[in-house]
Amino acid sequence: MDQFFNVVALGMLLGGTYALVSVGLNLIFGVIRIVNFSQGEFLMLGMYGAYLGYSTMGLDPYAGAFIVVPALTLLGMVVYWLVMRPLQNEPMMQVFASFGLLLLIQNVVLAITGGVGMSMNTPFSQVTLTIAGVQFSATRLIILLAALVAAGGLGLFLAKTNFGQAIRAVAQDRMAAQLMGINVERTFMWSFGIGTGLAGLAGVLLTPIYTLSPQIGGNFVMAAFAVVVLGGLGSVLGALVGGFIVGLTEAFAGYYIDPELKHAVIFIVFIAVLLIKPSGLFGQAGAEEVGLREQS
Amino acid sequence: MKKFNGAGVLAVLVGAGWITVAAAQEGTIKIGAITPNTGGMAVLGNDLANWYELAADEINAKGGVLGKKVKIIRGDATNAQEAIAAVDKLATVDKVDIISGTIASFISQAASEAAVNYNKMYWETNALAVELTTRGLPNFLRTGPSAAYYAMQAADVSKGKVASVVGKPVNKLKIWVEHEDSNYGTSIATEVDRLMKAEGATVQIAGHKASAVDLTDSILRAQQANPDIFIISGYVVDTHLLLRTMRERNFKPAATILIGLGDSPDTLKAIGPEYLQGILIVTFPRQAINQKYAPGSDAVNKAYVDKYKVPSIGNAGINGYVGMQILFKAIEATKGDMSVSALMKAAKAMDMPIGSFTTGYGVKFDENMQNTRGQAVTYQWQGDSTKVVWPQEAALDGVSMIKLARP
Repeated sequence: MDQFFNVVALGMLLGGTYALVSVGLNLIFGVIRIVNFSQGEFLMLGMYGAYLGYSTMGLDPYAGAFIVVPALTLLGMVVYWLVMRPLQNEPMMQVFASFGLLLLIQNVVLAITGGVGMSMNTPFSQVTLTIAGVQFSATRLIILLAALVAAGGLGLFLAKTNFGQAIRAVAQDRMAAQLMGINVERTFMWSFGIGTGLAGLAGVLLTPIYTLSPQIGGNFVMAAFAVVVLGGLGSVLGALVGGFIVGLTEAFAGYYIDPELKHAVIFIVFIAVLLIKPSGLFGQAGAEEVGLREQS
Repeated sequence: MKKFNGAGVLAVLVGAGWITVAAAQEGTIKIGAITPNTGGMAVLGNDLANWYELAADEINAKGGVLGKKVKIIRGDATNAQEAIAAVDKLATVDKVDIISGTIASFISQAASEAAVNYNKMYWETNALAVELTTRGLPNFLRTGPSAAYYAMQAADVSKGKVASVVGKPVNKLKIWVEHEDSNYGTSIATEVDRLMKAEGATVQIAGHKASAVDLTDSILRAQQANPDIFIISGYVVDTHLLLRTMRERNFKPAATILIGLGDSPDTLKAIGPEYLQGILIVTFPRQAINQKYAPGSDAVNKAYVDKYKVPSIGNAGINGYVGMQILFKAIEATKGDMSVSALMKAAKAMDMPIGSFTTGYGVKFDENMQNTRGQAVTYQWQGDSTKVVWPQEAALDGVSMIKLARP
């Protein structure tokens, strides 16, 4: 029975990881309606940023988040302004541009690092908590908490602040929002920046667990796309719940069926959910084609 | 009137090996090196090409091969399509005499098949998949060990040493082989399974994706089975993730064996010396090895640092260096004929004892043109470095296997 609860704990912790990686991706889609293929690369940049702070200044990766997250938010805003904004009337071109960014960022990091694997081994990364026979890795527990805080904080920000409401207004109908005096381009720029900043946060928190490589973002982003579609395109709550569904499915399939088949099982669940609810658990019908515009 | 068919005549000349002989006689022997110089395997690919160049520099400093300078021409390939394109370029633009490589088996497979079209010898030094030499490709041989030799070394050290340290007869050992699920990891796992089951041991094999975000499920399953020997055959990222998860889950098998990697400074940084103590690594022979077993390996590692100003990062590069030296000997034997048939014949005739090269290799090709005297060795983490501990004669004087269990 201990193993059962260990698998539940594993699924929840893994779900936290997927949720954190997916929240930013979902925000970018929900507001700007760009399927950002380069989201994994911003996560990877977050990892390298944390590693840089650790190796050059001895900065703990968690402290490094206070530098890396704003830096990646800013970078995301610049990328939006220089690359995505000129293509805003060409949605397909934005998708291709995000794919181009993926290759560009990966290869620049490869050229700088030479592709050498980089790792850190902090004392905290070795801490495991055991509660009633169930083990929790401290690093993954922090990611789970961060996912809850990020999703909750983003939800509150979108619901309670003026700027958050402006983002929601733009997401629902950019034309009407513009007529109401909202600066749509600024809203898009900030949304993209917040999305990449969240990817950076995920990257920083994942750094103590993984060996860094320029391709590592790709390991997370495929599952993140499944989470986003499963939870519902454009829904912050959907990203959170979708993350936990994928995490728990992966843990149970990996332990009780076969680790080699766990991804197949995830996508069986994914297809089953979409067959029953094509818009995802918390999404709105049609959002996959026109985002949230003209939905409400 | 019939048109003169130049291409046909050229094909006949190339097929007969006359064109390659003529090119070589011009004064330079051009060897195309297909390695992944970009992408995720760039570190290993560039390191291997560096070692090829070091071998060329050394032979050139001694006057070259049959008085001709050797030139290594790099060709980048990270996948099968790029491999074919790289062969096309090396054969037609650079006009190389022979093609060599590779780090990854899937690149080697495509490149060597493309090389057949140009009637070029594919002198494989490093790719590991067993199937590469059993395909019956007429232009292909391998100088280094295949994945089967890694498995053989893992089985050999388990039988010859680990069983006694663990305190069990071989037929009572419980072994878990955790492998990444591509051709590379699977072939090693299957071979270990075959060899150890033949000894009466209980073996379980389990696969995982090398790109998996989490491998706790794999560790929980292995932990449940409570093996005496836990063998990991993976790539860098998944091997490190497995080791970290083992540490987190307090999983302490009596012995842990990593295959192919895990002896680098990066592993030390990722896992820390405390947990690594006693872990065994089956890999290519390269450093901290008895000079009687691997004559000159210290000197050649130093030569690498002198040339490139950094130590060799890959564990496979020196294996390529030796593969290049074997090639030079084969070219000497053919008296400069670099046709496939001449080189294959020369290679088949080679019979050099173990210990002839800086990795301790000898040369004797089997019927599939796999060198049977290219062997892996077993290192062990001791302190903050790795030392050869098996076979016994490869270990440095005074070095022996330390306690295997994790602290």
